[in-house]
Amino acid sequence: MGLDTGGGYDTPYIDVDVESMRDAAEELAGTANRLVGHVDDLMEKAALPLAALAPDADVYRAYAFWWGRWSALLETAEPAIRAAAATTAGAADGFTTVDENGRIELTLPESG
Amino acid sequence: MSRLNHADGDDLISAANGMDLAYERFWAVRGRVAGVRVDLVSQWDSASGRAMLDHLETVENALAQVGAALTIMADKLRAHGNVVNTARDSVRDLVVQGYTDPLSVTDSDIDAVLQDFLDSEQALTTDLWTYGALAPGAIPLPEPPPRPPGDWKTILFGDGYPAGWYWLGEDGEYPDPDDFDWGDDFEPGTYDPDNPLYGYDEWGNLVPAYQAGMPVPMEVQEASVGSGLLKLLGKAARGAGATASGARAIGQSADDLAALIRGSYGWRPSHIDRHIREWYRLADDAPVQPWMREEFLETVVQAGVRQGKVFQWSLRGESGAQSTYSVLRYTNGRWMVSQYYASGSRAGEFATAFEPTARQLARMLQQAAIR
Repeated sequence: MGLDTGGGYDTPYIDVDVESMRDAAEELAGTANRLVGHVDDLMEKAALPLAALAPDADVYRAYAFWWGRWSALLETAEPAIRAAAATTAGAADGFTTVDENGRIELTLPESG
Repeated sequence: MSRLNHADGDDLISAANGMDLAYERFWAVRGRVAGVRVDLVSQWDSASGRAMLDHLETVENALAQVGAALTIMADKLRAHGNVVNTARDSVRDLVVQGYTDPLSVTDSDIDAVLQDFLDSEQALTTDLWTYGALAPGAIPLPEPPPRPPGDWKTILFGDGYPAGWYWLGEDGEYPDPDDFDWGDDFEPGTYDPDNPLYGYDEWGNLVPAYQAGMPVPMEVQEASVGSGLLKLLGKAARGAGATASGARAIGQSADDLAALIRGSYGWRPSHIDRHIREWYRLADDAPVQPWMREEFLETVVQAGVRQGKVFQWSLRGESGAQSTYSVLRYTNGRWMVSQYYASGSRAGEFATAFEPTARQLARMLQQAAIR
């Protein structure tokens, strides 16, 4: 891992591979795109029980409660992955402006 | 029997199969995200890179949690779907047998089949509440009807409860406001597992308040304003004060609701015709026929009169987000959502009606299920 020779996460160095970061960003963006389609398919299927259960029954309210809560968590995933892709791509661009060879090794000043 | 007639086992099984497929797909997505995360450990070794690793790990965990919830509930929905199909087949066979040999079939034969169906439905209901509560986010309390009027001292001095209070203690009695532990961060609209409140489900069982269909015993509820769209609209309109609104005088009939909708701002042609065209798959410039408007109105009215579940859902308009009472209607294989203003100068009036997407349906449920 480059200059991180035993310093672990407290190392004062950073070590980046800009080209690989760009690949990673593309992979994340593609994954987010695929996830949109998967979630759309699931949303269609998950709506079926709302039609298949009597609307004045407790089981209907319970299903609405269950799907309402879990679908909310599911809907956070795609924007989170997309944001990760954008951030990774942006960081790669930022590093490139420092070193056009695509790989940099910087010694950061000690904090404090 | 009417509940069994409404139930569709094949749809439940189809939903379960869709959840199983989604579980596999989300697992694959999670694997891709994990792969990127592992690569980034060496590709982006810095504080910002490590923050990104933590972020991606959070996403992976969220997908894993959703996947687990889906695969568990898929099994339970499928099992109930099979019970529904078996019960419907059994009842049909018993009815046919009853025609050919009336003395060979008794009411208890049918009751036994129906009991199996209801047992399965109650088990599914319990599982849905239990696993739903495990999802992240606070649990809202349903909006209760107002308390019945008290005596003169209550009217003058209050009864010691927060406004709108209607919930019960673990013993089924109203908690003593002097003794109940409201907690330092008490929020009236949120269920607090550390200080649980209770109500009744449709079977008369005392259950945690967020599961309660009837927040108070029926005899008390009937003495006050109950739930249901029409009563909520009347309540909202009265709360809005002197602003003219047909909802203030709304009764309990479909005719009343139809008159209210016709007189509401949301029914103006420049707004509602667009949704009617979408409903009938018309071109943007196609004229809306009178029979379409009447049929669309009838669907909206029936949704309001028959639907037992009212959601609160924000509506984004010219003046920002406004809270609405919303009801769903599934008819001829299509959904319709109709919305009524819950507050503001148009409180109690019809706001809009349209065919929602599956994502919009889910978001409506989210607003009702997460606080």
